[in-house]
Amino acid sequence: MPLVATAVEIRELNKTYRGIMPWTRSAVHAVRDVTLSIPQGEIFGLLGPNGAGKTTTIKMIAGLIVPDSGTIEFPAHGRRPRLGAVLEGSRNLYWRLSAWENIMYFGEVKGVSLRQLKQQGLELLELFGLAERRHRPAQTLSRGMQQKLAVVLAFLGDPQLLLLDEPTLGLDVASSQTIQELLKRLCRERGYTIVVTTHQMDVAQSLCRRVAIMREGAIALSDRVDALVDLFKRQDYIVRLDSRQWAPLAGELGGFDFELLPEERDGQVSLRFKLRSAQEVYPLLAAFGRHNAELHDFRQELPTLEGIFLSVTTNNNGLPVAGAPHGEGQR
Amino acid sequence: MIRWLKIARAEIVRDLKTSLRYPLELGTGIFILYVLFMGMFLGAKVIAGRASTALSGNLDGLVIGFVMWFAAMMAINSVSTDIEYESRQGTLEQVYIHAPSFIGLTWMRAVTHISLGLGAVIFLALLIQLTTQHWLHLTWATLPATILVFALTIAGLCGFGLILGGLSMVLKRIGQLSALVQFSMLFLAYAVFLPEPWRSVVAHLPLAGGVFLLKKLFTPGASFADVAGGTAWLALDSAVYVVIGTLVFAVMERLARKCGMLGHY
Repeated sequence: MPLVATAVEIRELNKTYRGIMPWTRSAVHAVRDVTLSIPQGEIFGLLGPNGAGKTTTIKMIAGLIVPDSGTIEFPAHGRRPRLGAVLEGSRNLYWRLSAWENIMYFGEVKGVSLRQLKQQGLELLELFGLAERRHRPAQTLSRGMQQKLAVVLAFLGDPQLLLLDEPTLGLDVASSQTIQELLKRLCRERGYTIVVTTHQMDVAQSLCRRVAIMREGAIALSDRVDALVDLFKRQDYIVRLDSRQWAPLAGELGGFDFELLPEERDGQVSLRFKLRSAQEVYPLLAAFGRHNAELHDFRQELPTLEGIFLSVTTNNNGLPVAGAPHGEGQR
Repeated sequence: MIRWLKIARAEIVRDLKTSLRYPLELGTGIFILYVLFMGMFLGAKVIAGRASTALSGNLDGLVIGFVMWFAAMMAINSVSTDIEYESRQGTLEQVYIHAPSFIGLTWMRAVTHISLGLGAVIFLALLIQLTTQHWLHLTWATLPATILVFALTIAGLCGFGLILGGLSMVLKRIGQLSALVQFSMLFLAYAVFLPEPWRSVVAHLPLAGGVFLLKKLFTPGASFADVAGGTAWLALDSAVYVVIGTLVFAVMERLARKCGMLGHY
């Protein structure tokens, strides 16, 4: 298995905000003992509800906020990597300048050569579908286009680390998906390391290989998305069969914990079985077999990242809870 | 160095495009200043009444003071109001992340903004002189000294602007303070009319010393020797303002990052 270099190594990071005026000195603990390791060449998701400490963490990585204690290192890149960032969404742009003028300005401030800038700028504008409108002032572009332009600016100069704070917030489904697809493509093809914060779980599940879920400033859970799905997986199975066959079966299934799902379509009903272990699948199938029931669907119900997120952020220990996976240990 | 030259080019292009995209706004700004000056000029004329010789003797000071006040406001705004504006707009954090040095970028912006604004300063000076039919006595002999005094005055004002810029990073809304500074600068621009010893006291405040020296330089027959001592004092005063401004800016920047309010608005 190839060794993956670490792009960002965060250790015991803490941040408490205090106002500068005597009457605003009450403390807000924004980040508490955050320790994270973000591998190079991956999209890493920092998830959490509002006020969980995601933006503070990402801004500390960017050097915009000074931590109270703890360290942030970039082992794969040395002291400070070339950064790209979308921190305020479409507010990152100079609204009076055109898309192209924004590219030229930020590219030159980043130190990108004029030649590379022209080539890369045009390439990125085409990739994000903005080439046709590159000479229009940013303020006349739609919200989605402005957001895409902000992402384009972040990619200028081939950054070693991209920090995207809610890059798809407030976008329609199509624009959001376009940005997600392009981020995945650029990460795959060019090996960018991307840290993305979001509270849109579908976006995180689609984009990220690894995530950390933050709650009240601390990391509640951090792992690969597939590992989290595994961790939170229950022995829940969805079965769909003809409504006509359901009535004679009802008595036979009395020994199982199940519920009839409200949806009924095409003359079929769906049932959710909560089994105690995977071994229980066999007697369940045998019961259907005895009645020659024709099953249209039989599948294990996997948890979504949204379900995991809700479970983590709404209970006390951040681990699978009531009705959660059997026999899963604490992590 | 090459990187900074590139940044200077980017800043000039940004500044030009931003201003020229809305030419009416630019033109209106200069027109308002012109009207303001004319109001002052005509008001002074009415007050002077028949003693019109008294007014004509002070016209140099009136014109120089007003033009320098305009230049002063431009210099101060280029490092203070711009930070507040960028913070509100959301671009401050972006430029902070990408620029090799934030204070370096702020200075670069001041230099490019003032260089471009010189055109407006000269235009306003010419317009005022044309209207009043009173021409400042500028000769080739005094031109280098005039440029030096102007540059030193503006450098000191930028240093003063850095203090306000630093405050705006932390306190955010400094509109009222900016207005106070604006009026104070108007007072300092016309401190040339103050009697002694007040004149000597305010000579060390931003803008005032520069205006005194420029007024001397525009006197017929003036030479650099007449203002050499004053220029040395001006250089020292400006250096002090630059050092204090830079220190305050650095402290405020650190405080803004500590409190997480660099991008707040």
